[in-house]
Amino acid sequence: MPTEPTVAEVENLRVSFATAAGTAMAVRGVSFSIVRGETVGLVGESGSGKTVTALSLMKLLPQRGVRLEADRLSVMGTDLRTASSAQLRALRGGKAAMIFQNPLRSLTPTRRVGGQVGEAVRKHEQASRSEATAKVIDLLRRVGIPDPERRARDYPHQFSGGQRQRIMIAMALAGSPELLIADEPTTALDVTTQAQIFDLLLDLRAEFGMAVLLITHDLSIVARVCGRVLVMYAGRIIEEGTVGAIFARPRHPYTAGLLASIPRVDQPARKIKPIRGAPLDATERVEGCAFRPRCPHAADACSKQPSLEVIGPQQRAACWRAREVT
Amino acid sequence: MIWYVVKRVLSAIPTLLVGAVVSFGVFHLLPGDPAAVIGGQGATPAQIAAIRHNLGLDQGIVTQFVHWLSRLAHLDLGISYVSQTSVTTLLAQRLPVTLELIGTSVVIVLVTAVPLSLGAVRPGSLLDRAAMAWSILWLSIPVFWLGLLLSLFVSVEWGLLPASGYVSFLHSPIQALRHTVLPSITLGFYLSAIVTQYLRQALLGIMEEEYIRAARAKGLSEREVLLRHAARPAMIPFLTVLGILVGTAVGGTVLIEAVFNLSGFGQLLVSAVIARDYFVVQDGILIVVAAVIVTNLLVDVLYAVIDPRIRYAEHG
Repeated sequence: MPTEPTVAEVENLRVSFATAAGTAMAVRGVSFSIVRGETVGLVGESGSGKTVTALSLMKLLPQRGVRLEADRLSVMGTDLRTASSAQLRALRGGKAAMIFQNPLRSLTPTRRVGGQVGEAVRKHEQASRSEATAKVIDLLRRVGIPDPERRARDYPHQFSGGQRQRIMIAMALAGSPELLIADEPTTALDVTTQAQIFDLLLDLRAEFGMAVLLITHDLSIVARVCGRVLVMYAGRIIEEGTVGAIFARPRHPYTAGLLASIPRVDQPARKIKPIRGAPLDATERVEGCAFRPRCPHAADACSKQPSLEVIGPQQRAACWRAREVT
Repeated sequence: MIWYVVKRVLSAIPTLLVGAVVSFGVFHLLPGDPAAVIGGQGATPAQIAAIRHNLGLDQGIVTQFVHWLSRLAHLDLGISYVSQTSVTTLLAQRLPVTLELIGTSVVIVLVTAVPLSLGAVRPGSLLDRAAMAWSILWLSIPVFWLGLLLSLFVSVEWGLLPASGYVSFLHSPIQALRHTVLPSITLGFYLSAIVTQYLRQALLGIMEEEYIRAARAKGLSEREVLLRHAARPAMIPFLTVLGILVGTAVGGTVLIEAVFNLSGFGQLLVSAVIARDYFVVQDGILIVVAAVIVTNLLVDVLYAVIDPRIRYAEHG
């Protein structure tokens, strides 16, 4: 059976929230697609709109006070704009799964871990009680929980942070997803555990053949794990390309600034140059390029919003002065 | 888990002791001489002195306290001066009335507050607004006035239910029920108003939690999310508030008992205080204190049943 080459297609996604301070535009027109089996990083500061974008892909944003519009929003062939509740429920945790940032808060504290994973299994697979239990134990073992038969009866608070994230991954895998959205999965974990979790994710990706959308603010993680990266600022994608191209030659001043501000182990004496200024508040209306107030290369032309232009063979940037940046 | 229960029970004992000191002390702070009140208008000084001696009021206060405690230890609650019956007998008559009233009121709370508070799942919905209206309504209307209104219309005007009196469930369930309906509604709606607010607030908070979002991300329906992931955590604040209300209700039903002419514990205690019926008051206040301590204890134990984090915390 012929399958779509892409697992997700987004065109002109706009999301706004009604807040006490006015309408907050969290996502101001984002377009991208994710190809089967690839690992894409979605990078940005807090407030850039990356988590909202991710939640939009699963339609997990609250109903009230949120306006979601898009010219196209399709995940695993399902048009999310018109999908019924039943279709959404079949998709979530099934072909498209999501893991979240804080594993302690994302697991229900009053239920046993085995039950929570088992719930996902029984939702998306035709399995009897005993088959589901076996699958749960198998999944827990696969994500690296030792002694899974016994540990399945434990509660979330009885595990370490890294183990809880593994359990979340097990829950996500229950429906054999083809797209895994990971929203800052390791931000709450220490560096060693981070590395372990990413190793696990890469293994699983290879084994299950799933695409991964990794949301993070940490470019070094992207360099490690992703093939392609989308850089978001103030609700827009301002640069995208392969990791190799972007890291070698960032074309947008913001991306360049991000890379320059990463501490490097091989250059311990290097002065870190932070990006001056603060990120845009979502309720602010913006004329022209949103990065302008903080940009070392700002010019008069920047009063007009640049669109994403092809800069190199595997790179696009939204900057009038892209060719001069590096 | 066992340890948890044992520790809770053990820590309740000093609290009960403090309660005993307070109930003893409070009574002795009342103005006037209990012996004189009991003796009445025409009592001679000699008669009053005799009463004093009978009650042991001529001894030191600490001695009196110790005597009282040691009698309690022997389950001797003393005699009611006013009615010349043992306090134990009086309590056996009066407590069941109040406890049944509280019990049926709790049923009403469960039947009303739980469904209404589910409106919190969709804030601003019709159900949610009904819950808030319900809560405000029954908090605003004075309990005794509601009781009088119900009594007036349902009993007197329409003759549907009896206006007063008490029939034990053991005697005749149907009649007991008929007599219980109005008083239980009066108390129950008020309690329900409070519980609805708490439960609604709790659910609002819980539905915002990340584990609820993660549950939705698994493809669960809203109903499954509510029942399997939100219900249990919501039980903690629910039990807390219900426990407080029930515990304090034991001493607080006097108005309803007055309106519906129920010979309950509340009326007993109030009239005993007015008459300075020494032993009844002492023991009565202690019972109220004990009721609160015991319900708190029960709620604590239930917490451990519901929330594994509390249960396992005791193991270290």
